[in-house]
Amino acid sequence: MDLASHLASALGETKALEVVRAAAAGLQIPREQIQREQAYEILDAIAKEPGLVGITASFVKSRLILQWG
Amino acid sequence: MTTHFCTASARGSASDAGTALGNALSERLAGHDPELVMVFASTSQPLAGVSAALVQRFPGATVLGASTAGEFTEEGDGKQGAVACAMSGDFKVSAGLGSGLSADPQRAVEQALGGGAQAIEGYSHRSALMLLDPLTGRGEEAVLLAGARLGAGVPLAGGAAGDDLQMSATHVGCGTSVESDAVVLAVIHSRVPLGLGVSHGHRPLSEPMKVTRASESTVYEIDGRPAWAVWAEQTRASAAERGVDPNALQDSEVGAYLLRYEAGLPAGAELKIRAPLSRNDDGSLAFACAIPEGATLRITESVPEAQIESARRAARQARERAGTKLAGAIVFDCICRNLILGDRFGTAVDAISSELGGVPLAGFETYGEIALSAGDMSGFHNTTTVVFAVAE
Repeated sequence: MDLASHLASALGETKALEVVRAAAAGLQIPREQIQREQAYEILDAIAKEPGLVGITASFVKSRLILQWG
Repeated sequence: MTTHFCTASARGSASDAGTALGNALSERLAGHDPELVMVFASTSQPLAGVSAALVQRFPGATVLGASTAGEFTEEGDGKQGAVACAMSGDFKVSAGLGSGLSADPQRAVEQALGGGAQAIEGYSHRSALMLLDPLTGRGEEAVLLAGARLGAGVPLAGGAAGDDLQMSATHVGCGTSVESDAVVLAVIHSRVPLGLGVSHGHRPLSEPMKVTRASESTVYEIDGRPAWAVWAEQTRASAAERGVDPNALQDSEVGAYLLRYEAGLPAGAELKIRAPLSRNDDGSLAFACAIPEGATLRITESVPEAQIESARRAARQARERAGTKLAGAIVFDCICRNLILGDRFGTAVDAISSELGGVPLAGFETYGEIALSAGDMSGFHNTTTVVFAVAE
């Protein structure tokens, strides 16, 4: 699952990759096979960042929940 | 019930313009009471005065407004004036204004939405309009917060207020409340879908560069160098073709210069355009919305022909999404497109009007555009045309 691509529209690709990698590493989630619940965990962690980064993560999570159920 | 949509334009003082707009709209509505009135006013007609006149004229309507960097209707474009549109028909509007956007965008968006996001029985379609103060640098945050609250099924369209390129203070209004540092949100509940289209016409000028120091909407350094120095260096050759030297610009000229050379953030195959608004004394650049530190960007420029074609494309998309005969449209078009097109901006407005079948349209030149549909992961745009088509 390419979480960074969902964040890239607001943050740009470089920043999106950086925040996903950092959050995944902090949660000890391997980036290679992110499951749905793990994706939500990663986005929750990113959502704690201040400003646009955190708000973007919250928004993306809300849209993915609508998409995935 | 048929939707009626009409437009008007006026000049003069705020109260005179407001009165003239009210008279013209009332005549063109031919006895129909509007549910929604939108007014876009230059700094020559302070928004509070114009809005007050329209609220008095149409006491049953929701009156929304924004200050501008230019205004237009289907009859033409201009500066230092005011335009308005009025809609009547079988739809309902709920709207509000949220204050303190810069300090707490979440609270401001919640305040603006109030309880108006809830569906109304019998009106199966909802669309939202947003107007905000871009000088807060909170454009993208506000759009995403509103989008999360409204849900993927509610398309969101709108614009960032302007102030005739003064970069000093912009205003948005809901009813008689007119403020800076604020956001206005309106939810339109209708029985048929309204159509949203969005398109830009920019191409990359520089190679990718990294934002090495930034805080919220201020970019301090790019690739370790002061942001303005990088911008001037990368745009010098293009500007020279027009006889402009970025290093010789007066402070008052920098804003208009920057709007022609905007940033593009790579997002897949597309570039997300981000507008630099002003240069600070320390060589940093202030943008219309947050630019994350660590982001990669490319400086872009726009070709006039691409601007006209993208305006047409946005109108076509809105028309197709509405899917039925149109009554009118509201257009949010970036001021930088006017700067690029010059005398040909009217051609772009004509292209939009033609694509929409010649229906009435009203719009203003913005400092940022808002378009968020289902599937979009970002909703604040720069140097873009957003068309909101109203079905008949």
